[in-house]
Amino acid sequence: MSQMTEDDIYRTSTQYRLWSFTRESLASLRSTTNASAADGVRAAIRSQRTGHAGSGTAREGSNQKPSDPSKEVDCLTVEEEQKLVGFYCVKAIQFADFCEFPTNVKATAVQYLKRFYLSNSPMTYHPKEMMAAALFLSTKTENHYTSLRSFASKLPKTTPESVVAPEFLLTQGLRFTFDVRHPHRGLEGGVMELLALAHGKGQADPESKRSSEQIQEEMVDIQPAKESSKKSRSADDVVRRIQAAHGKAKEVGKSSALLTDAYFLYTPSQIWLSSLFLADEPLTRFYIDTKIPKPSTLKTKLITTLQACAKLLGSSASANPGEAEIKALTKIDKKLFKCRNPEKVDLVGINKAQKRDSEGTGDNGLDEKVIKKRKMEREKSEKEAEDIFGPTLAKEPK
Amino acid sequence: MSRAPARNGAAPRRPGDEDDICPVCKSSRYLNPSMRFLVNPECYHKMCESCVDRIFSHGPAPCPVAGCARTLRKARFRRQTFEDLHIEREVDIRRRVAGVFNRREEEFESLRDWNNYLEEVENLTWNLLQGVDVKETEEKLDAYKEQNEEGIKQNAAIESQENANTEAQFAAQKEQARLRREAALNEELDERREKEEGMREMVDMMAKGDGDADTIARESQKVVLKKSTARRTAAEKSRQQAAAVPLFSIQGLKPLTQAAPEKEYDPFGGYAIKPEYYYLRDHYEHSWLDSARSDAQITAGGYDVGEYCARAMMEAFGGLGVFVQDEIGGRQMRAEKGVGTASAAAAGGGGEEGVDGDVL
Repeated sequence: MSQMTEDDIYRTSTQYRLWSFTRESLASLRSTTNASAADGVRAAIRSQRTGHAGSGTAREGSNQKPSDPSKEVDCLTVEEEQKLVGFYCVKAIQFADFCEFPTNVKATAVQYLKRFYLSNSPMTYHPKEMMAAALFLSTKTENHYTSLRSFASKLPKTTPESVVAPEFLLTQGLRFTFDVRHPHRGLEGGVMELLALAHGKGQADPESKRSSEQIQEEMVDIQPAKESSKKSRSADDVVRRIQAAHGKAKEVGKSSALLTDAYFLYTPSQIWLSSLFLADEPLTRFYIDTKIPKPSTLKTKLITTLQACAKLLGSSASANPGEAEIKALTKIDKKLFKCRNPEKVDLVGINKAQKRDSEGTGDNGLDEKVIKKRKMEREKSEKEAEDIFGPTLAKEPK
Repeated sequence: MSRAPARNGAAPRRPGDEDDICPVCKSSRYLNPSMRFLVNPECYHKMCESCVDRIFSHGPAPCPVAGCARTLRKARFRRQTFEDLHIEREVDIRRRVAGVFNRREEEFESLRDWNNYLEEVENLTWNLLQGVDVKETEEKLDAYKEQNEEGIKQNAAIESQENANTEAQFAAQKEQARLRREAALNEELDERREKEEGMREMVDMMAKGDGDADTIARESQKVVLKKSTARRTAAEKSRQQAAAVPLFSIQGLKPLTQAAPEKEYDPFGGYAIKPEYYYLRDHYEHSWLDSARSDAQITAGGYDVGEYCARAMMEAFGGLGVFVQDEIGGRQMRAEKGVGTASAAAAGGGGEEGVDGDVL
């Protein structure tokens, strides 16, 4: 019988295997994505312009040099991209709140967006469209049924087609991994155990000789979270304190934990402990002490990791962007309008063309030649399928 | 049996009835022609039926034979099978031991093991027969019986099944032979009767005097011959049918082995979760957990709060000791290159490059 620890189980998840990064690898991944997307944008714009020039302005502008597009097209930087994606993450949360979706749907949608924009740039696919697709996909993966029609009707300027059009792109960007491990249920579990400790029914680790009553007494003596606040006097005070910390940590888990890169950099278990750390540090330290009583490398590492994560969670911008930020965002959006990849603007059209070439026409992103070739191939294979003796054998070369 | 008819009205003789005087009451067959002798497998002392009735009908009593004094019960008295009481005793003991040590050859891995087992059993039996270490041996026997109760029962069932099968087969063969004999007898009778009839007809014809005696004799001979051949072929046919259709028995069939009962299905394929950082408690207090526990709407669907608690605790500490910065750093290269599928890679970073290639 093989034994697996909780850590081993977490290591089997796709979140660990595909979607965990170091800070450096995350930054380099984003910059390569940005660079390749910018190249794509420039190439696409250039090809568009030369196409126009060839057809319309051949006579008058023949002696004009084609201008260097890299000078004209001012692409977004990584930071601007991040800001834009972050803004649409906030939008996604707000819209999910409007639709009264549960927390897990919200959180999954935001993570889908974040994951998608690791390997794709807002210059290629606009986050506004991806946001709706991500949210709709997450209602499906999180088993919260919503009809496509009612979902689309709640968003302005959105049709059911435009919601599902980028869906396959999105799943590709997610590498077909839909499972997101959230810290929310873990927080509930941790609070359940903390409450058990506070009620004098908990159990510390087997090595320590402390009884549950002793732990209960010790919990009363924990330093208050802020120096100004009062010391707790009874077990009931401790329970109230835990509940307060729980509420704060929950808020952190719903907002900054989602909007920062915490999911990429830390495990869900560390994230909820950090949010509890933010809410009530002495209590969290005490809790960790009951788990790992002896000073060890694991403990020091865990504490430093939690502190770093708490810092990250605490530093995040507020969920509602301020005036200045809105201004900056509009500026970015205007810039994006100029540097969008023209080939990927009409996602609905591309989706249609890829699905069934009979519906799509040549101007919908796909080449007419390609469509014709596909159609020929399909007809040929259908014909061959009807032949009971199979297709004719290829002739041997003489 | 040969001398039985000489004694009119006497019970059929059985082995052991030779010395016709009961050792207990000294009455002889001369006085009591229907006297029968019984033995008790406790001590194998012989006594007549009336003695058994007299001494043991009020419950267990000591054996009346001088110097024996074993307590005997009436129920266990029986007629002896073998003339020699030593053999009777040996057969009894062997039967008892074989009832307990009824392992079968197919249970053993090798022939050597099977033979070793047989030798061991024979040693035990011999000890019991010869009265060597009887107490120890009996203890061994009892211990084995207790340990292997289930197996003994199973093997006994298999054996009785086999016995029943062979008996049924034997009976079927016997029945077939009887039918064959009957058919042959009938055939013979028919043949004789027809012969006689033919004779009679011939005589009648001759008496009427409708022709030459010789021709009549020849004709009738022919008729008889014809009939007998027809009958013979019919009998042959029916015999073939009888052999083909009913009472068909095959010998040498292997006994059906019962399939081992299926193991309980383990959805985790032998893996077990061994939590490092927590102990799952039976009951957690949480305001909404309590309402879920008592709400019929939730519990009716089979929702188990315990399952939720286990999952919450599992998620609370799954990955607590996983330090992404350290662990992922080592496989950074793979993480960057290892895109899930080729098309995903194309859709991700590589999509724009494809366009590049077309243009340039």
